[in-house]
Amino acid sequence: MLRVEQVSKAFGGLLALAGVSLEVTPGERRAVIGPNGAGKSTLFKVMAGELRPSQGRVFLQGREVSGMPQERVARLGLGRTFQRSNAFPELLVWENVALAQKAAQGQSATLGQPLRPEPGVQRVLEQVGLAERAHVVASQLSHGEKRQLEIAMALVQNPSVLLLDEPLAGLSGAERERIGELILGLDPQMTVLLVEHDLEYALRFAQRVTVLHYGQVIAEGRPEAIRQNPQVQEIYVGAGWAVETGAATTQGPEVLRSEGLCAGYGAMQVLSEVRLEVAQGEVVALLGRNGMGKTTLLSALMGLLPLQEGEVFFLGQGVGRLPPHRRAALGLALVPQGRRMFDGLNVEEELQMAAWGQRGRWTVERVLEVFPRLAERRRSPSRALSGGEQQMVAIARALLRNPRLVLMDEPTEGLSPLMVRQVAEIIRTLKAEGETVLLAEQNVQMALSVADRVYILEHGQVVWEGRPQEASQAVLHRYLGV
Amino acid sequence: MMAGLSREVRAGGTARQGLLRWGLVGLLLLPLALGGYPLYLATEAALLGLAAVALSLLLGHGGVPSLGQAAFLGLGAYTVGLALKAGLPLGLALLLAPLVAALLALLTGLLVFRTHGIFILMLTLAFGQMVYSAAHKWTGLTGGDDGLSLSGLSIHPVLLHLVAVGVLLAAVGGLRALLQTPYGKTLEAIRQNEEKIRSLGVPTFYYKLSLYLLTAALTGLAGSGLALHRSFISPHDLFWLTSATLMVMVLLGGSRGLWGAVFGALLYTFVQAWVSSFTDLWGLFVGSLLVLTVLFAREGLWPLLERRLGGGRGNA
Amino acid sequence: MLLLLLTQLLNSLAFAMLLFLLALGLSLIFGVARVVNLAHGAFYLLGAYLGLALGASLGSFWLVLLLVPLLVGLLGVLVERFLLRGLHGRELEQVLVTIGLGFILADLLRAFFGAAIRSVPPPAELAGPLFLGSFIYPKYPLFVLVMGVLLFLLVRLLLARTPFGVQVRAVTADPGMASTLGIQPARVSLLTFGIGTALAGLGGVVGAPMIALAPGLDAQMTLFALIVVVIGGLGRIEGAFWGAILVGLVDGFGRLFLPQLAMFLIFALMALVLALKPEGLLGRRLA
Repeated sequence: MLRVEQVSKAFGGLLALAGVSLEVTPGERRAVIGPNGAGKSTLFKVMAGELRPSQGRVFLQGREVSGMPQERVARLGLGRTFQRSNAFPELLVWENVALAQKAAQGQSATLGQPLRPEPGVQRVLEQVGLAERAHVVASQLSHGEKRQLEIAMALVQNPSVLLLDEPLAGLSGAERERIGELILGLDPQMTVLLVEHDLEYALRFAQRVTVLHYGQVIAEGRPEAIRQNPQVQEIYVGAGWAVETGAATTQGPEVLRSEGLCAGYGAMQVLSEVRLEVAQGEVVALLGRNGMGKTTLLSALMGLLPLQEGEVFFLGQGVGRLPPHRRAALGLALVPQGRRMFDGLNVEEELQMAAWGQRGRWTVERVLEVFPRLAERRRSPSRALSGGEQQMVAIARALLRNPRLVLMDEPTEGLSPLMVRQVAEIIRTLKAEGETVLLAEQNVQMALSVADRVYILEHGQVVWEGRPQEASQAVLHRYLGV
Repeated sequence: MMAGLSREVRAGGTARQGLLRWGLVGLLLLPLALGGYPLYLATEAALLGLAAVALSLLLGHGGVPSLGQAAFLGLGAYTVGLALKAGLPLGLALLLAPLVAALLALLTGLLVFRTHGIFILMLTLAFGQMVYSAAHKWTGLTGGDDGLSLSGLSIHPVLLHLVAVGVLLAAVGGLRALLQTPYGKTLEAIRQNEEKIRSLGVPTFYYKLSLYLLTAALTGLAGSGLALHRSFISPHDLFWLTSATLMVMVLLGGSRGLWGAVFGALLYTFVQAWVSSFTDLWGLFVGSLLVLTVLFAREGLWPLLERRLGGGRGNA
Repeated sequence: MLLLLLTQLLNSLAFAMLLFLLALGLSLIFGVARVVNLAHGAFYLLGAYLGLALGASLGSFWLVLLLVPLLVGLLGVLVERFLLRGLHGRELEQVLVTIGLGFILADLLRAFFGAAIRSVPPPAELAGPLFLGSFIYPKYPLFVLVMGVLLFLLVRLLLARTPFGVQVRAVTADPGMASTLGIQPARVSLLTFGIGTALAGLGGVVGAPMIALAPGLDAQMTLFALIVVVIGGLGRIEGAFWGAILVGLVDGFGRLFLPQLAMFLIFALMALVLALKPEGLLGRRLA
C-alpha cells in the first residue's frame, strides 16, 4: 500500500532521515516511534509530499509519488492530520469538513450553487462526535474538539492511507480518551500510520511498530517484541548512568519560583498551575515526555512566551511582565533547544556578543579554557559547527552572561552518546563552580545523574517532584519510559 | 436586481444592516436628482467602487496584497480608448477591456503566485509601474503624457451613471453569491490556511490565479467605464498612487467587506473632491488618510458603522 | 567609441553608488525591523531638498553632507517610534503606513519647494572636469563613486567589527534569541531605522547634483531601491552593493543602446530573480 525505499532527507548539514525503508500493507496499523528528533515527522512529510526526499523513493499503491506536490499525493488517496491542530478558523465546523469533501471529489471549483452540508459530512461529524457543534466557528472549538475536526476532515476524504501525526499531543483526560478510542475504532480496511509519543497508546494501537533513531530504522516488529527490545529501551530510558546520590546539599537562598503559572500558544493552553522552585547552587531537572510542556515552561520563564496567568519570581522580584532582555539583565540565561546559533556570526562573535558589558567570573578566555574545541574553531561560522560544538557555544553564551540561573533546554538533543556524556560532565563542572541550573531533558538517566531535585511534567502539570534517588522504577515507568 | 438586493438583505444580517446598505445605494442614486458635478462625482465613485470591490475580494478573501491594480484600471481604459479610435463598436470595446486586463493578469500572475506575502506586494507594484512606464513611453500608441481623448463619443451622464451603479450592484451581488459557493469557500480556506487546504488536495496556485484574473477583469471594466466617463485617459492614472488610493478605499471599508469597499469609494471620492477644492496636495490627503486609517481604524470605518448602527457582525 | 563606453560605465557606476546608498538603508531596515519602507525615496528627496536649502545658508557642502543625514535620520527614528512601533508583526499594515508617509512627505516637499524642476550644481571644489590623457570626465560623479565604495567598506567594517554591528546581525538572524542575551531588539530596530533613513538622506544630498529634483523622483528612487534590494538580496549589504552595480549597469547601458526598453529590462531582471531565487542573488533564505 505504502512503500518507502532508502529515503534520506538532509537539511543543509543536518541529516534528518538516513536511508529509511519501510513497507506498510493494506489495512495495517503501523506505529512509528522514536525519541525527539528521530525523524518521525520528517518521514511523514516526505511521504505526503510536503518535502522532497534528498534520496530514495516513495510509492503509494504501487505508484511512485516521490517529489510530487502534496496536493497531488493527497488526491491519490493519502490523508493526514497535523501535529498542531490545523483547520480554517473563521469557517464553521461543517464548512471545514465540506471543503475537505469537495477537495477529495475534485469539486472545489464548483460555482453553481452555495456550499451545502451534505449527508457525507453529517455522517463523519457524527462519527467523530462533533455533530452538535457543526455550526460553531472552528476557532471557538476546544483543543480536543479541534483534534476531532482534524480527523473528521481527513476521514471525509475516504483516504486509502491515513497518516496521524501525534494526534494525542497536548490532550488530557476525557478528550484524550475520546480521540484515542476514535482512532482505535477506525475502519479496519483503512491503512493507518501513527506517530505518537504516548508509547503505551502506540503499542496498544499497532499491529507492527517501526522504531526510528537519528533518522534510521533501528527496530521493527510486533509491539510486544519492541517493548522488550533492549535497544529500544535504552534509547528511551538510557543505560549506564549512576543516579546522583550525593549528600543533600544545604539549600541556598531561593533563586527562582513560579506560582500558578499558565502559558500556551494563542488560545491553546499548554501549562496549567505550574509551581516550582530552584535554590542557589542546585541543579534541578525538568523531566517529561515530548509535548508535555518542558520547552514551553522554559520559554515562559525566560519571557519568550507571555504568561497567561500566574507569576514568576526571580531573586525575589516578580518578572512575569518583563521582556527577555530585562530578565537577562537580572541574571537569567537560556541555553535554548536546538542551540539557535545566529546565522552569519562566527564563534568569536557569538561569544563576544554575549559577553559584551559583562563583568564577572566568566570571561571569553575562561570559557575557552573550559571549551578548548571552541578556541580552535573561533573563526568558523557558528552554524557550520557540529551539534556538540554548537551546544558548547550555546552553553558558553549563557555562562558569559555571568548568570544567577542557567536554563537549559534539551542540551543533549541530537547529540551522540559520547557528546551526551560530555554535556553531563559540563553540567557537573558548573555545579562544582557553584552555578545554578534548571535543566529540561528527555534523556532521563543523564538528568538523574546530575540533578539534585527533579520535577516531572505531564500535560503541562507538575505530577511528581523529589530527589533522584526517590524516583522509583514505577514512577519512571509511569511518566517517562517504556 | 432589486429582488436580489432584498434576498441579500435577509441573508446578510440584521434588518438594520440591510438598511445601511440601502442607504448606500440611495446615496449612489441621489445625485441623479442633483445633476452636474455631484452626479459626475457619484459616477466616478461608482466606477472606482467597482475596482475597490474587486481589490477587496482579492485582498480580503483571497489574501493577495496587490499594489498594482492601477495597471488593470489603466489597461481597461486604454483598450476602450484605442478600440474606439480604431473604429470598433462600443460593445466590442467594452468586451475587450476586461479581456485585455485579464490577459495581463494571467501573464504576471504566473510569476506573482510563485511568491507570497511581502513579495507579492513588491512584484505587483513593480508590474504596475512597468505598465505605467509603457503607457508613458509608448507615445505613438497612447499619446504619452498628453493622454488619449475620447472625443466624438458622448453618453448621457444619467445613462452612464445608472449603468455604472447597476454594474456595481450586480458585481457586489454576484461576488457575494460566488463567495458562498465551494469555489468561494475554497478561496477563503486558502487565505486562512493554505498549507492545510493543499494537504487536502487543492492546487491553490490555480485558485489564486483565477481570482486574480477575475478581479483584473472587473477592474479593467471599471477602467473602461472611467475612460467613457472622463472622455480622457492619462498615464498618470496608472501610477502607483492610484493603486494606493484603491487600497485606501478598501481599508476605509474594512478589508473584508464588499459593501465596505463601495462605502470607501463613495466616501473617498467626495471627500477628495472637497479637499481638492482648496488644496493641491492630493498626496498629503491620501497619505494621511492611509496612515490614520491603519493606525486608528484598522478594521475600517464601515464595520465600525455597521456595528454601531446595525448591531450586526459586520461582514461582506 | 571606447571613450563613450568608458564614460557610460563611469556614469552607471556613479548612479549605482547612489542606488547602493538607498538600497543599503532599505535592506538594513528590512533585515532588522522587518519593514519594507516604501517611503524610502521620499527620505531621499527630503535629503536632497534639505541639502539645497541648507547649502545656501551654510555655504559648505561638507557641513551639509554631515548635517542633513543626521536630520533625516532623526525623522526616521521618530517615525519608527511613533508610527511603526505599534504595528509590530503586521507587515501589510506597516507597508501601508510607509506608503502613506511617503505620499505625505512628497507632497509637503512639493508644497514647500514647488513643483519646478531644480537642478543643483555640484559644490565648487568638486565641479569641473578631470583630465586623464585624452579622456575627460567630470569630477563629481567620480566623487560619488569613491564615496560609495568607501561607505560600503566602512559599513562592512562596522557590521563585522563593532559590537553594534554584531547586534544588528544577531537581531536580523534571530531577534528572540538575541533578546535572551540582553540585546533589546526594539532599540536596535530604532537605531537601524534611523541609520537607514539617514543613508537615504545622504543619498539625496549626494545625488542632487547628478539627478535633477522634481516631484515624482521619490517614487522613482523607492522603486529603484526596491528593485536593487530584491535582486541583490534582502538583509545583506553585499547584496545591496552588487545588486546596485548590476542595476546601475543595466540601466546605464540600457539607456544607451535600447532607450525605450531600459526600464523594462530592469523590471524583467527583478521578476526573473523573484521567480527563480526569491531571496535574491546573494541573499539568504529568510525564515
